[in-house]
Amino acid sequence: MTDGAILSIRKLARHFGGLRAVNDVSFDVPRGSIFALIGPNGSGKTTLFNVITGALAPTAGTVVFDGAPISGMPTHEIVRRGIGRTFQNIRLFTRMSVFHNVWVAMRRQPRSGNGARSERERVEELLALTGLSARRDELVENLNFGEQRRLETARALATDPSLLLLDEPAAGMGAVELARLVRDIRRLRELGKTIFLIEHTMHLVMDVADRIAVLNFGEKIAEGTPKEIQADPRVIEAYLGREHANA
Amino acid sequence: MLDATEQFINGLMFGCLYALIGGGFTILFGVMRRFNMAYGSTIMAGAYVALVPVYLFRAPAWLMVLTGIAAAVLVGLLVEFCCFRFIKKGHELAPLMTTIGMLIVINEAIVHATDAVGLKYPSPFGDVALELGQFLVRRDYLAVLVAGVVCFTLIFLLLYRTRFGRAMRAVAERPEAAQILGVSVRRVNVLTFVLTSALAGVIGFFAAVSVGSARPDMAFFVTGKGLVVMVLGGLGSLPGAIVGGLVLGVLEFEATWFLGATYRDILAFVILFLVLVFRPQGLVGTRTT
Amino acid sequence: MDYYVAIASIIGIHALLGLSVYVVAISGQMSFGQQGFFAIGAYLAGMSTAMWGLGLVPALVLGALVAGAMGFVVGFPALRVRGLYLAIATFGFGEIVRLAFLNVRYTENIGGRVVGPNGAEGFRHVRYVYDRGFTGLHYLAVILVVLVVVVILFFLLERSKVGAKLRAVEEDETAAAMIGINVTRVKVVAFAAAAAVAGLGGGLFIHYSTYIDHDMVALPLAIASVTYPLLGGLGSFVGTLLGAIVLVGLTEGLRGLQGMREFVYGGLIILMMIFRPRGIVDEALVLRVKSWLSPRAPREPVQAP
Repeated sequence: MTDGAILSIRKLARHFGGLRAVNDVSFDVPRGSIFALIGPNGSGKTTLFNVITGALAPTAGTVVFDGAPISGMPTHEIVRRGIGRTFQNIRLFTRMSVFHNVWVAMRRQPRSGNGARSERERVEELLALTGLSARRDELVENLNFGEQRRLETARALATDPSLLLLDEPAAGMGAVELARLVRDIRRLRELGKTIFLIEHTMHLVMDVADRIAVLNFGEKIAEGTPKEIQADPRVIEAYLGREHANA
Repeated sequence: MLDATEQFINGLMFGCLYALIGGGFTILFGVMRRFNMAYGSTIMAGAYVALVPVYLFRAPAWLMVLTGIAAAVLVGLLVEFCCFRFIKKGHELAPLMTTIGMLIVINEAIVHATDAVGLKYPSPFGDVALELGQFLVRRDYLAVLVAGVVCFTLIFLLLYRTRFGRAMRAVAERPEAAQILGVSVRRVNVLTFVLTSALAGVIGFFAAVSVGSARPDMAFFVTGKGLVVMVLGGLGSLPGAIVGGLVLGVLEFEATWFLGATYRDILAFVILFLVLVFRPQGLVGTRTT
Repeated sequence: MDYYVAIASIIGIHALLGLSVYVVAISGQMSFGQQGFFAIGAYLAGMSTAMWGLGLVPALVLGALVAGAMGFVVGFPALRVRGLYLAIATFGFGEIVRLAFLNVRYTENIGGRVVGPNGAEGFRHVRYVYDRGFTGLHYLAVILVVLVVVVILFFLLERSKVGAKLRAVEEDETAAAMIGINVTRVKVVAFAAAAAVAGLGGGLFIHYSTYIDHDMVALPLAIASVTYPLLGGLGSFVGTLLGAIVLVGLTEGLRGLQGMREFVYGGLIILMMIFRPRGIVDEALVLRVKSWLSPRAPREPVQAP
């Protein structure tokens, strides 16, 4: 097992007919890092997430997780190996309570003697971690937007992932919620999770990520630390340049 | 072998009726993405009401058809109003259930009005079989063939040569986009009901003529055939429905000939199940409306 | 008295059919084919007691098991499709079973009676229960015991994680897979279990009526079994029980209103779907009741107007 990378993407491609949504992309996500994938709309970020989680089969290339190839496996198997995910357009179980959304996802833990806690206790813990304890018996539709996003994170955490994929976690958030999100992401890393996020909001990424890869038209055009990315002329052209021009 | 060929010809002609039934279900499904379980009852209502002028005076066949169409359109509008208009968004199965409710109500109304006995249907096309070369062909089946060709020609003209047809196809393909382009989805839905119900009136008449009577179990019979044809054609494809109808017609007639009537229906449903599960895009495999 | 016993027996049997549809429904699918499993259970259990000399309990179990196995065999391919496609596919299956029984002949002459599936004649003289001196009331007790056992299983299912997983799959298969649920397995197992429950209902039915034929397991039965859970509500199995009681009670109770009952029945379905599309006992109601019942749940602070 390569100690450095928890997730290795190798020459990955996913085509839809003639459209090359993801093409020949390779990078490593270092264990314990906060890794960000950025790129303009339609650059293939979510497609890449869908391939990693087994929702889509790759056209070519491999995904290696924890030293084992996982491409082509069914989603539930990949989840059991330790990848969790949130969705860009929140996909909670709206007809269940907050508590049940997390509980249904809770992975059975091997009995480990005196340290073992009951499943319900662990659900409560996750709700506390995401600040949702007071809302535990609420129907999901009664939560506000930020709470729903946090609940989705709690649900993903219930599967006990070592790698957590966050698909645009800041979308639609205000300044206060954004600050909370940054804090939450850092806290998750302290808990030993590797965070891999897709993001649009540049300053969030620059603020929170250790390492960034940039996707444009399905291909990786740059990778490096936030400083390096900010200085990369291709990135500025493909992404920052446009955003600056819009501003 | 000669008889098998004769069965083939008869099956093809009778298959036109199946194609029409499947076509009615399909147009509605294509435009609204909803299944109308009350369509069989609409057809049956048309068949029964078409008899009214016959009882009042010796009405000619064309008047029966027109009466059937008028009645079916009224029933269709009632179905649209009761079963589709007030359904909340996001409840896929609700219209399925409301139309089932409607099916029960319409069937019961007919059972009430006729004391649940079948009504003998006139045979305006004559009972004597027609000799076509060495084959014997039933005249009413020939009439079904003509009706099928005329109806589908009209439908395709409507869909591809008129503004309303364009709007219908737009709604079928991308309802949101159609709405942005100024098409009133509500209006298209209502007009789709008018169109398919008018077709139901025609179907009702010819179905009853070819069976010789209007019977209260007609709705179930027609619904079953409609489902099979729709599935064979790939849900939502009108050319598919035509092919599916003809295939089913031929298949049934040949199955009756080779296996006997009892196995005919099993065969139809086995094919239905297999196609649905292993080839859900249908026999033709295109998704156009 | 006999009249009420008969109604209660029918309610009990139809409740099982409704519960069978309910299981499929809470995994997100609609089946119009449970009457096929009902028929399989009925014919098999009937043959077991009337022809093979089995007792009632083994007969019912055998009927349920075979129906469940059929559910597995049918469910595995059928559940590749969903929504309307599955609804039609299951209906197709139901019709295949019905037409098969219309054609099957397997009879014996027992004591001067033709016993066994006899094509269009149906399957007559399944008199195991009444030959042993059971009255209608006794047999009602049997039906209710079976129903209670099934209901207890449902109660446990609802509270269990398996039940929650079913609901997760119902709402969003992608999200369900993403929390580690094997979606296909959950759906097939649910379908097989549902088939077994329907088969159990069929076994009870044939011993109640002593008779079944293909006409009794046609589309009207499919419609009836689907309306119980949809009208009663998909929030809890209690809704299905309620649906069966109300609708069967209504159809039987309105017998005096000669003919009007079908109008009431159909109209009720339409109105319910318009005003309460997830039935009487929907999820919101279940949650509200739970929060009343559970002392542990913190009361929401009263919001200032």
